[in-house]
Amino acid sequence: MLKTLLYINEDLASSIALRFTDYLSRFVNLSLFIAHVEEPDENEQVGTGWVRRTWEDGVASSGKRLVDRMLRTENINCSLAGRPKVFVGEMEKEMILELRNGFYQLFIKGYLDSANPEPFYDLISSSLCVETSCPMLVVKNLSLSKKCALLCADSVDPRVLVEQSMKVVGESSFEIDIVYFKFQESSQVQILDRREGGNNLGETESLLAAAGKTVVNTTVLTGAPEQVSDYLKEYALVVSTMPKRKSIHIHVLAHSLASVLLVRDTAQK
Amino acid sequence: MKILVALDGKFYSRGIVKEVARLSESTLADVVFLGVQDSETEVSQSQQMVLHECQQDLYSYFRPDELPYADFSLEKWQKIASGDWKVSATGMKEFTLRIRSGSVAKAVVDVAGEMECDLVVLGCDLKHGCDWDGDMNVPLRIAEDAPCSVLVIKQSGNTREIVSILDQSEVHQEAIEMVNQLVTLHSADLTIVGVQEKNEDKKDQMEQRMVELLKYYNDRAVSAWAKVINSAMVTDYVTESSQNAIIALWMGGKQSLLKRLFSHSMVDKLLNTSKSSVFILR
Amino acid sequence: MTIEQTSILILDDEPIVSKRLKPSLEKKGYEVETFTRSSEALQRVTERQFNIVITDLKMEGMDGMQFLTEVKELNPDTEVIVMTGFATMATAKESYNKGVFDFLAKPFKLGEIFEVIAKAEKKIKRLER
Repeated sequence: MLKTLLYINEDLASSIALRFTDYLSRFVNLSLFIAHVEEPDENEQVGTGWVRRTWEDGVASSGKRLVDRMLRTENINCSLAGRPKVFVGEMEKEMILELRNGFYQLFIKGYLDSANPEPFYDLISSSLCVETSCPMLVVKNLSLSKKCALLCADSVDPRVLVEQSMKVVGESSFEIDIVYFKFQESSQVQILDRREGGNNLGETESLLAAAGKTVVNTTVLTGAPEQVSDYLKEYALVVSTMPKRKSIHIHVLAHSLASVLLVRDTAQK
Repeated sequence: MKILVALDGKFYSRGIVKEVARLSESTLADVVFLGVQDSETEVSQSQQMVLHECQQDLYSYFRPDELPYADFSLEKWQKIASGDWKVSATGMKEFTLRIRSGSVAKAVVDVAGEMECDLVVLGCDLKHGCDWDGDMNVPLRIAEDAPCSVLVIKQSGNTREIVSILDQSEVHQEAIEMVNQLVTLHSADLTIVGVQEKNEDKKDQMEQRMVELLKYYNDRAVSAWAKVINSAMVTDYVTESSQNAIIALWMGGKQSLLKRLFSHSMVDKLLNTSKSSVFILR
Repeated sequence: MTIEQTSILILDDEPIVSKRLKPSLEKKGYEVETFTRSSEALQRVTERQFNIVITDLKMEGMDGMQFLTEVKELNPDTEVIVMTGFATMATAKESYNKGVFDFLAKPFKLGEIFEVIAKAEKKIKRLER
């Protein structure tokens, strides 16, 4: 069972994330916890001691009602491993603490896709993303695909990609494909000969085979990031190593309509 | 479903017959082909010929044993009012040819209302923006005034995506169903684009609409992609959309953001500059 | 079965469809029962026979195609009208092969479905004589 924390709020992104998590649970054995953070305005915060505690209890119970409402309206089938956790404070800080203390193996958060990639860059560089050591699933959409793509490129470390992604999808019933991406400005995506994938592709395939995973399709393609993102639409999720800086790679992930599972080298943490 | 197709015998009209045939094949729709002429007294032979040729084109799309419409060979044109002629053939479904005198846009809007059509389909000449030969702003005027949804087909071809632009306005079931038919017909991806305003209430309403729509599609195992864009980016977003897309605009109530954004000049711009076909939903 | 008041069952998981159809059909003198869940509608058709069944095709749970098959097996005399928002030639063909009376793509105006119901009613009455 994969100990998973899903962050929800009362918004569209969370509705999608809840539903997608429900869908994901058909493929991955999740031990699911739900968390919500009530973020009061600074000028709303009152007193110290029991006055503050009473005020915090009030805020927390309104958060609990919100979570109950969300769970009721989304009508999800996936069972929860524990009662929803409601915190009062700053969302990023509270989630980092919970993820650290709870030894979660996967963190899920909804993200509303937009034509503007900047909010995605902000998310990648946020302390929540930087300080979270477990894989993070950024849910962008409700896909009904049964396929998962490992996004490989020259800049990707195959060992990190395979080892870390297998911790999430290794035991799953997703069909696994490898998509090897080479940047090139062109009017449309071009599928290249698999030899164009070079050493990284070969190593990714070997590591997956060693992990006992059969790759259904390997595609080497080239094109502009937006076009590659469009190609990725056929997947329920796209697994990628965490990009370190603004790059073509991050641009592909920012524009991807499919949800993105970001994995990182835990040895470096 | 009843589809009204406005035709004038030009290449852009001929080009849409195949699209209409596909739609009528999958939906088994009642179909009306409408031609418009100047004279109120005499029905134009050339208009009759254009409509009959287009009707034959559409019939030839079907396998003879699967044609849901009856043959026209024994039917005669009838004058039903001054400047208004029709001929119908009723098989499993009804096929009507109609010719009316007057201005094209007004005739199309009037007949769509009188015959209780669910969809108006027309093509347009891309050489001069999006126009009809010899008549100004026909697609725009029909898009604005028709009592039902209007599909302006710019280039028949491989539609891969239906992009539904959505604001906080109420979404009508009929409009959703019309989008569903096009998604099914083209096996196209459906992208629901929410237009975000600064006003928090309206933003919440828009998100609520998107949640409802996504749940609707999710419950029916249809993949729908959600995207949210800022209201300032809407016109650029739609005019830059690919020619393999159909842009669907939900024209909601008076307060509709889209109605304000896509005022006369904006729909005009969209029809004139976008490469995509345009679908005005009501 | 002799028709006094034509009975109609409507199954569509979108409540607005029944909400729109039921009052207009009742006003025309039909006896109408509406359902949003196929399991409940199926239970009802095992309890009594309807002259006409109007069903959507794409729904949660049992789909309309399965439902209409069950209806025709239980009561071959029941005329089934299919309506769908996701029409294809294949589903239309399959529906007719299963003996449906008519196939309507959504959206449609009330007048269109009234016309189809009237035709179905006429057929039922003709067969009774």
